[in-house]
Amino acid sequence: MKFKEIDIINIVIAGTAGQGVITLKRLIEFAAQKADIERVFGSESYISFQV
Amino acid sequence: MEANLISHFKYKRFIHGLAQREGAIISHTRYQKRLTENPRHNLQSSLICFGDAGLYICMEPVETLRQGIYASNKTVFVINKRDIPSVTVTADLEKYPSLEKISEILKGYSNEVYFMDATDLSINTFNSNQQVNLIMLGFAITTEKLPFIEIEHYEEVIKEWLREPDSNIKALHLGIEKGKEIISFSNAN
Repeated sequence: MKFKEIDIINIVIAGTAGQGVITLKRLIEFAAQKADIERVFGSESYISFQV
Repeated sequence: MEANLISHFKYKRFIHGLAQREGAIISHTRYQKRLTENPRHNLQSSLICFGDAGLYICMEPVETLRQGIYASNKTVFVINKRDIPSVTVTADLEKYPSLEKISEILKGYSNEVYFMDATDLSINTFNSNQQVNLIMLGFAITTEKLPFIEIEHYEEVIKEWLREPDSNIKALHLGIEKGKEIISFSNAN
């Protein structure tokens, strides 16, 4: 699929604690800034299990 | 009234420090190369709408299902095969589904579901599982769902921000190489 420059790219990164999810998210965001991308947003959250 | 309201919520201290957050981790990354003159067509929120994700990068198979609400028929899934059962599974309250079952559920959304044993690959190549996320990034790049960012940009960031940049760059390229093999094999069948 060919993307247009005005398209919004949406990526979900999921995993468990300690698998490098946030590192990967930030790595993509920083690389996007280096690639001269005008707008980069991100969010991070977690679910803790209670038994 | 206020005290009554507070008593209905469970307050938890927010633990900064990634691995110490415990449980399932989810992140959304969104970008737009060029903004338009119409602000309504521009990226305005850091959260993805339900059914709007183009790409899932999943470090653990069941976590893909847990966050399945963002998927649609245009979503591509790249998933690390290695399972890490949650505490509800280890406490025998739930059963961990098979990889076949997970794949079957995800194929109900999209035909583009790709698995790789990135943990195994990382352990065999680097004698450590620290490079799994970079291998998975390489795998994700091969889907072409991360447009406008070149491999050189990732390499620059890795050199600037990560410890052991050489092994991380090697992991990125390993992921790209194996990802290409998996996707071309999957498309051929």
